[in-house]
Amino acid sequence: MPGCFDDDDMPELFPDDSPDFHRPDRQDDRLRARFAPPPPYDCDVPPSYPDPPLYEDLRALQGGSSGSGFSTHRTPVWDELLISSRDWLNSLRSNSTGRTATLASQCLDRIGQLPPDELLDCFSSQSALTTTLCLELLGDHWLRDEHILAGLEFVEQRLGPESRTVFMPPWHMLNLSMYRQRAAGPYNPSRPRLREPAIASGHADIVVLPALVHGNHWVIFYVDTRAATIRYADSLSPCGAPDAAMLSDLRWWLAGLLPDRNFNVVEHTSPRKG
Amino acid sequence: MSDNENDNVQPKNEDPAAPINIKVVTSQGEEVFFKIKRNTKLSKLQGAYASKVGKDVGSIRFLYDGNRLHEDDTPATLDMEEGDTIDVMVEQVGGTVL
Repeated sequence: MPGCFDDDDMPELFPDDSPDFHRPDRQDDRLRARFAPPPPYDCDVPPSYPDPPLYEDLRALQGGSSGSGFSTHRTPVWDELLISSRDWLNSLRSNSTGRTATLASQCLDRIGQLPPDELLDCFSSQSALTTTLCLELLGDHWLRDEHILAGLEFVEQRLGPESRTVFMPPWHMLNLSMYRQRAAGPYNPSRPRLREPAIASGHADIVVLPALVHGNHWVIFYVDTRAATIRYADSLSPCGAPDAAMLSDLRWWLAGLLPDRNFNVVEHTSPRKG
Repeated sequence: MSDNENDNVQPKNEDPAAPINIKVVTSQGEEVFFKIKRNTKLSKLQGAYASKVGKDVGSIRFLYDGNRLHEDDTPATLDMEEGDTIDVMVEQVGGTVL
């Protein structure tokens, strides 16, 4: 897939040209919440996973891992998304300087011209990222698997075609559970699935696997195929261990692809909350 | 694609008008079977499945070999075989409260 992002277009994720971001006299709660340093972690306190804003349509086929007490919300309409996106961009423009502020201004100038629900062709048809989903990202909406996959594709494009890092789609861990239920023994599909040839042939040093836990929270597994290690990162529970069933499914899959290796979990500390 | 079937390879039916049986399976293991011609768009199957379960087709993910199905995919373009499985799952949403 051709890259569609130029270096000049790249905003800084945590702009270092914006010293005002953490000033206490800045009263923009949303911006502070997004960019504030994480609080110190207390591993003795169990993490609290919030109830998700489950949209009405998403009740279909909901898996058994979901939490209870869901409330249903209608899917945000375009005009509401425009308002929340403009709020965020205005906050960003007001509270930053330099290129970040310029980019926020440019986005504000152009956002009204966006057609609703149009596919962005610089992302793959797998992520199916649309203009509507982009506006969700700018607002306060939670991340759908399209957002996660598009983010991974973005990183993949930045790493370039020679990269030896493989990103699995956000539904892969759920897929593994389904594959394992069907398989009588070791992972041995009749033909290779998505990204598996690169892993099995030793052309992937790192495999990154996002996963949804508790039906509402994204975590990530980070597999180093050369060191035969698995790292797990959960921003809400940085001291926590991965879900045992997920870890078991992941090891089952890796054993099928790389049978000469025994993968061990090694400790990972999440760098920040979010 | 089925798992662990390396020793059961059957000759492929290349007649585009010949129907094959496709199984749609949820993450809870519920199965729905469809008979579909090899040159018929799988979007028709997706619509039929969504209608059967009473949900919007856009809220359901249809995956074959770990890949999301596209609008124009057919059993022939995906080289699907008799008895192949399409995995179906709900869209996943995660986040935190700001």
